[in-house]
Amino acid sequence: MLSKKYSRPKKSLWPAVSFVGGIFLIYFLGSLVLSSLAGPVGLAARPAWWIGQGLFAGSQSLIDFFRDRNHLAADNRRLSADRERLLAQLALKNQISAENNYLRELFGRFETDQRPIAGEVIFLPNFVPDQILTVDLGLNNLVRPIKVGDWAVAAGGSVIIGRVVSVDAWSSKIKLLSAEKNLPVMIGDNRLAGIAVGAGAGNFTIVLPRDASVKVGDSVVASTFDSLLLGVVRHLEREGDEPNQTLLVKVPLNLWQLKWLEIYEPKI
Amino acid sequence: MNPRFSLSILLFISAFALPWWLTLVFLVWAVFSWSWYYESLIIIAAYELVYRSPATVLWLTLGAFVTLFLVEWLKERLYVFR
Repeated sequence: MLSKKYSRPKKSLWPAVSFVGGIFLIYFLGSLVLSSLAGPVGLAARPAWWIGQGLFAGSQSLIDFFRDRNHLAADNRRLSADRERLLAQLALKNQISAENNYLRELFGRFETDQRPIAGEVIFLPNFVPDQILTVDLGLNNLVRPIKVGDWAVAAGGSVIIGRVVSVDAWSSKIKLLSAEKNLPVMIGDNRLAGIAVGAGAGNFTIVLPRDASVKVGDSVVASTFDSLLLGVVRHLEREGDEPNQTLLVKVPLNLWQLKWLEIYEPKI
Repeated sequence: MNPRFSLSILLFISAFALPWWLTLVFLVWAVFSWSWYYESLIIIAAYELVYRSPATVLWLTLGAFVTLFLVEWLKERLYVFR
């Protein structure tokens, strides 16, 4: 009787080769090769983004209808009063701003107010590993070009949001300041110096000595960004006998509902 | 229309229209339901191209690529997928 020698079925090497080759390609060449597709992909994805915005607005209106219908009249009265008060504050702020510009000019900081370029936000990150948002300003649709390093400012030129990190043909990417590590800041009316560390999504943390006089609601301005507002202190953490306190700071606007941004050249 | 193609279109839209975690749930379901659902890589690469910092490695796509192989390896060994 012939004995049949058992032979193991040969395994194909193709899965292993394609696995290693794929990793190699994506890691070393992915960014290089696919970067040129970012513009067209952004264009193709824009309708999907609009669908998302529509869904969000629709669901928000529905929630608001059921939540707020009983106190709309009271809210309306309160908002009218708030509006009057804010208009008065705005007039005062404009006056102080004009005075500030005059003093800056006098001391040779910079000559005149810059005219910003307004950009519409076309993509906000719904998952934020890089904290990038995209605006509809590019090399081909502007009279005056914007460049990498320009500042992205919101709320009428008072709140610094981020910096331009790339300018494409029809759009530009802005990286939020909350993605940066060390930002020199001044805190509160006493102008305490500190270093803000970005914590993502418009949040920052600042560590100060325990005795430093800071309170919730103090404003935090970015020293290297022409003292523009970076955020407001929302929470103070003082644990046990630790010699330091940690300040949690948040941008005073909802980044996820941002529609427009202003782009300024950096002021030195 | 081919159901796999239609699903890919819907997932592409959801990547930009819905919260990221919801898209992730759909993608995981699709990867387990279809054999070698490589379209997930295209969707994640598109997402990453729009949202990432310029000149950085496509980490999400790389992660998705490794996950795709892992899931297929797992599916070969799980009785329910035979």
